[in-house]
Amino acid sequence: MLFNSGEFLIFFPLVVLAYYVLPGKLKNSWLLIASYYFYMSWNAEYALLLLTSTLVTYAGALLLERIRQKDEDPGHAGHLSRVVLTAVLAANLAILFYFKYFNFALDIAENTAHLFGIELNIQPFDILLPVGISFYIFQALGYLIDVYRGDTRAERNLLKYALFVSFFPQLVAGPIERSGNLLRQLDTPKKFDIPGVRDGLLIMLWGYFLKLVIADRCAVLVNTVYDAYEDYRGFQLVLANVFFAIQIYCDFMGYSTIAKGAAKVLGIRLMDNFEQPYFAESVREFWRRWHISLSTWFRDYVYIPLGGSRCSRLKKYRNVFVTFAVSGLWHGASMNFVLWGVIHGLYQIAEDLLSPVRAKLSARFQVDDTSFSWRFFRILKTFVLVDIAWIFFRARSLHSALYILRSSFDLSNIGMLLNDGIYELGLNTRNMNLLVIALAALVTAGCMRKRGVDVRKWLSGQNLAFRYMIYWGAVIMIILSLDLSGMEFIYFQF
Amino acid sequence: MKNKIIFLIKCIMVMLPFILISLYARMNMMGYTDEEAPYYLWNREVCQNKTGHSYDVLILGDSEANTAYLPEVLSDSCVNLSLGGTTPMENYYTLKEYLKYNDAPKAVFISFMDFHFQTSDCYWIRTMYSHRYSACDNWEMLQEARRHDESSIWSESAYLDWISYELFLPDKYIASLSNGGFNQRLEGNTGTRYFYDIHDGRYIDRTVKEAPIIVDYHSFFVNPLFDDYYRKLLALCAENGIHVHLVKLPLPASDTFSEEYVQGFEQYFEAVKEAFPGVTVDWWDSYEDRLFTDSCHLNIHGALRFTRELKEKYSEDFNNTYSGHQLAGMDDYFSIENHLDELINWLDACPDYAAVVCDTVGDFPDRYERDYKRPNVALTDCAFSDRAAGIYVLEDTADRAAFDQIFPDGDELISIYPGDGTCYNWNPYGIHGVNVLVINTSSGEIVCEKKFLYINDEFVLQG
Repeated sequence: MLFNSGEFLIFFPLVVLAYYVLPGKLKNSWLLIASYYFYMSWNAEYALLLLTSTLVTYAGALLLERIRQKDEDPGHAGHLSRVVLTAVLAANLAILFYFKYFNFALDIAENTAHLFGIELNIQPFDILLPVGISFYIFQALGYLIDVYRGDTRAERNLLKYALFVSFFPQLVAGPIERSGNLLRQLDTPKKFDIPGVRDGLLIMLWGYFLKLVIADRCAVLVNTVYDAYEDYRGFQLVLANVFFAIQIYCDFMGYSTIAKGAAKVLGIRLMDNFEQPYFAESVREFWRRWHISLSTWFRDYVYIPLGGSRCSRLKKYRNVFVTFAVSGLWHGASMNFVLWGVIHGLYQIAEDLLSPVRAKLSARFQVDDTSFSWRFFRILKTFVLVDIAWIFFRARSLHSALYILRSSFDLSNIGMLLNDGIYELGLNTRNMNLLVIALAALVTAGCMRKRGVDVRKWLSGQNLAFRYMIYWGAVIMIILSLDLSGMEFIYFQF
Repeated sequence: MKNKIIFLIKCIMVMLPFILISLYARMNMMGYTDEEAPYYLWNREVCQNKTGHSYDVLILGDSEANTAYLPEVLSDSCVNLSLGGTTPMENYYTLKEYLKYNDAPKAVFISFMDFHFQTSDCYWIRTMYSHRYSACDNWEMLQEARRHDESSIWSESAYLDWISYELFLPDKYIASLSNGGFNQRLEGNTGTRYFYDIHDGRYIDRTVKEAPIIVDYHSFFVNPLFDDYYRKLLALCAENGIHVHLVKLPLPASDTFSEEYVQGFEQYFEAVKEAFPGVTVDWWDSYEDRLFTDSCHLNIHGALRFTRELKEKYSEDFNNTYSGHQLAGMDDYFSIENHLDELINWLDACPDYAAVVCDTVGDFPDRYERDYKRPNVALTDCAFSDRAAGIYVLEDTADRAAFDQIFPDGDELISIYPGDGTCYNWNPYGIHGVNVLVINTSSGEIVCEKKFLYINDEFVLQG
């Protein structure tokens, strides 16, 4: 069930209505039923995976806590805890590996064997990737590691824990919640709160705007070019890459925003997953603003355990490199994604290596680091770097990614901006105009946010006519985008 | 509670554009739909007797039937209720609705291409989109499609789609609304609807495209859902004493049919005849490829030939006189005709038309005898003086006196009194070829003028 499907638009009001009508004790049970129904609407059988992961991590966490409490020998307790943690991690990662990475590993094994003249000829498994598997398994593992570290207590109420893992607004594409935030909010039943529900609905409206009006419209252009990339060159490819950067941001941000709004309608606060990432002045900063729930997960559970930055420079770079390579692999079982992660790792290593040089040059040429032009230049530079990496993310193969990258430097057809060439990329004049208006709204909202203005609060302070003009504008633009809708969210595949 | 109600009202207010667009879509379909939807609406109105006509003969089927049967040639009491893209399922509801509002017809001709015995390609995008059937009928169709697991209609989202279409929600209509603009298609659709009216339901492909696609038919089968509805349709006819003719329409002569196909077809229709004894089944002979627009749709010339053959074969179902309404349809066909020999075919088909021919090549009578002679058309030389030589009249053999008010008038001018009290001054000599003036002798009006240039021993329509 997609957020942008008619099914969800019936499902969600019914869930909300029943949630607020039911007595407090039944609210979580109802949400759990609704969440499993939501997940099973894709493939009922795969709910077993969700259940397995839930039960294994639930039992594992209880066991870890019991060991810590009962075992008087800290050394023995530590050893036993590590064994339990490893076993539960292995069980979950085995599910993930089998369903997501098995065929990829098989492919690598075959290619490697082929290099040595051995033909393996193993038939790949016919497996459908369970939607959201990377998200809920990472969320469950995060909880388990928190319990192991003693950062959170193990949840005894299975029902509540199961809801924490499967809470439908963020089940299939995040944000990857932490137990400290989501699980604790499930302790108390929520009452109908008009300002909260109103805010939630407005957040959802904004999410739909991002997904339907911007992302799906950009997708038309991006798909047109990428599906026949050899027919395009130069500025056409550059434009497609820029549009892809916008598409993936609005697609994923749209999903996270709808998720956040839907949760808020139910009285639950989800973490922010994005913070104007394309306003970042460095790649490192970009990762503090992009897919925050995943980057902090990798920071807390991979990067820091590897040694983080409190070690030699070489080890620190190794840690960065490994973390980003794994992050790439998390996104998909393909070398493209790994390469995309590696590129981001290398960007950050390069940024770190070059920072003294940059500081010296800034001092030498008396560059004001806080000036608008310098910051704008840094934002632009970061966007270009990130956008180049997106090519590897979007392209179907390494070969096509390299072709697109190479061909993008031929800017002899930049004149298409001045003629109708821009309308030959799949988007007609009407859709392009709508997209430009929507992007203007996005940039305006972003700038306001960057200046510390809470757009929603600001809007609610405006007079009725202005408010409704904005609401109706958004609703009309969403309606005008319905003929493009039905596209899945990009991050569902991860 | 009061706050909650106010909040609910505010939520509805925010969604007002959504509601208004749905209402607009509901109330002004002619303003934004493409040109096929008005036909579906016309079809509904005819079935619901809003036009005030009842018919003796109905044509049911899909686009193949729609292109093949020309009601204006068949009878004034014949209507083509076939709908492009439909299967026996939709046609069952068409007949059911027709019978609800009208007396039962005497006969029904039913034709489907094989494809529509096997799958439905237009249920959602045509039938549902145009609101041809009631919400209850559509619901029943979905239930049946679900029961038979017919994937071309039934899907997981079918009920939601049904709601969206029935409520005219923007997700189903916004593309048409955007493309149609605000009421910009009203004039075009109203004009198109006029054609549905004058042709009694035949609306597809009035022009000629000569690009037949040749098919090898390997097997014939009918999917359970469509078999079920086909039998329900026949049972409905039987209940109402309607004589049923099942016609497998002509296909291109180059098509081939395997033994298995022929056996499958015969077996199926033998079973149908056993179940419904009064039914006749006709597999029409193939026609030359040039009479088709694609793999199975007859072009207008093929349709004329088929319709005339059908009328001759089942003459008891049709009458031989032509009403003014039929002639209006014929007028249109004459107007769009672009082949001289086919123009003469139209004259042959309908005795209420005559043509004045001006031949500037000089051998038209010989050529007529050799290439264009038709049993119901006679050529008469007007035998004017040299100044207005080469003027002939083509008219019905049985009604030779229908048209004779024609004489030369001044330099290269022919004065024609077609019968409606007007005088038409015709200057036909400006071309090298034949100039043809078609006259509706019943109304006494000039229908059209066609200029055929003589090029490489052929007559080619000018322009």
